[in-house]
Amino acid sequence: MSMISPEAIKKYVQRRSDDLKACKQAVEAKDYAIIENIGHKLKGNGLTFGYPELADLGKDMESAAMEKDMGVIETKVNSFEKWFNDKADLIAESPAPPQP
Amino acid sequence: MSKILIIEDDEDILEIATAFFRQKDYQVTGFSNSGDALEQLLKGKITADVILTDMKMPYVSGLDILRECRATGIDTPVIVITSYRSMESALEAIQQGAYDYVVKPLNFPQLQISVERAIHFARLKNENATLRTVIQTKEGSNVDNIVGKSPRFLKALDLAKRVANSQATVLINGESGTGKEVIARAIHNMSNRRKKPFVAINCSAIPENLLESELFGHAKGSFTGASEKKTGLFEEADGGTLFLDEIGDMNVMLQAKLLRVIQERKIRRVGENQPRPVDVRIISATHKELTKEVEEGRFREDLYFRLKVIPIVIPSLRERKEDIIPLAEFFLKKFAAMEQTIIEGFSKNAIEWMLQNKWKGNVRELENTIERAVVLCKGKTIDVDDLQELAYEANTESGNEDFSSALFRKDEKMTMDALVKKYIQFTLEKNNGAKDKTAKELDIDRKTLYRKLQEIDREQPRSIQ
Repeated sequence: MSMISPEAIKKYVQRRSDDLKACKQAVEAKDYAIIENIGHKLKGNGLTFGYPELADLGKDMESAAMEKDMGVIETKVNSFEKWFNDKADLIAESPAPPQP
Repeated sequence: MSKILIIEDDEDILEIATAFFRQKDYQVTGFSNSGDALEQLLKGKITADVILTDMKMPYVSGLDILRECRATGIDTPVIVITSYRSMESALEAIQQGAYDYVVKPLNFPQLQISVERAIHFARLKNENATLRTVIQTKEGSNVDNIVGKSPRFLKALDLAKRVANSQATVLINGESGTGKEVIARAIHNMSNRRKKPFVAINCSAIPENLLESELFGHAKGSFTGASEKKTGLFEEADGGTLFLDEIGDMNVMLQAKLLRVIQERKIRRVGENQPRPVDVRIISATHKELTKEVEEGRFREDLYFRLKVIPIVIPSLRERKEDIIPLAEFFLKKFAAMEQTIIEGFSKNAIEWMLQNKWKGNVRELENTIERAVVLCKGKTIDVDDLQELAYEANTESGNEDFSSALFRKDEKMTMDALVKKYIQFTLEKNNGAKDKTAKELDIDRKTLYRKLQEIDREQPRSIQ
């Protein structure tokens, strides 16, 4: 999304750290409501910030939480963690973010 | 600067939306907690030109916000933000009265277009409502849309309402600018004569030699300058209402003729002997104390009793202070719509000042002050400095007053001759010294005007330049 500044995108990715942490805790506690909320949020904002793959992950997390399918949830949370780790360089050095 | 309220529980989206619209010079208020936003809206602590709200939020949804706003009379346009999988709820929001919906991912330039259209729509809607009020107040007024809640004013309105359908004459008494003609029009518009004409004449604004011809008409050649026959206002108002403003200024000779018309219900045009039947209800008004005029022989007692079958007294604005702010707000809305500008209201100091001001020119002065303030106001709030400055100017520029205000502000007694001269001076000043225009307006030839000006010049050597 060209209207969004690189600084805003960097901040967005940094903030996903909290979401990831909350997801892991929710998996431990089997708290489907938290997974559903975070999934819904990622589905809504991932595309806006130029990350369609994150939006898809969020959508899958949300529907898995609604179906209380912990197997799918764990897989998607792992994918989320991988996605976040892949962005470590972006957070550290702040190169130009991907554009949709 | 347009105001946007953004309600979005996703702080990332809220943050960039806020940054985007601020960059585009909008005044943005953002809430991530929709419950807090709704509470502030309902308490009137925040206002906006447009509300942008996410649809799915915990506890209070976008649909809840929309419903509550509509239920409590907040008609600010609402744009809902929804995910592409929630189209059904978006359509439901439209059915509930949302202006538009946008689908995530947000496309900000597209969102801005939707916001601008919503603001434009709200302005047009607001202007439309205000202009309807203006038109109704000016031409179709009845007591229900006259602004005022003070007990004395409500008593006068109630009386006007009750006597509307009667044929009895009404005498309205009140200071200049209190709205005597507004009440007279309201009586006419509520009466069974409302489909017939309402004709108004200010008896103090017409030179006495012309007033008779204005009221009763004249035959061709009946006096110098009567090159054509003329229908008088009594005949024009046939079947309707004739409003004689400042009746206390009518000369005694004409008072006798008026009395005869009221008694006989027939008029005679100047220069004619044939009586013509007329069916006219007379409402008259004056700022003078007519009992005193009667006592001092300036007003016929029999005419006085004929005219004051139903007396209505309109209190001055000083005597109905509780109406000052509602009236000011009404005029602000009216003139803002006419000027196509957005002014949200008055500062606290401006309100305090308006309540303390004496308003010697009554509602008319208040109306003029607000009109000028609206035209000149640079911000979104009218402040006390503007009002003070405007009121001072209004009080010092006689050219901005009508004749009766300019004349009787000084509360001085004068002869008929002096009155005529005052009127000539007033008209000349109003026309910036243009004698041709003044003579034409006064319906006299230039020679007569020059003669009168010479007389005035002799009496007040420095008054006419």
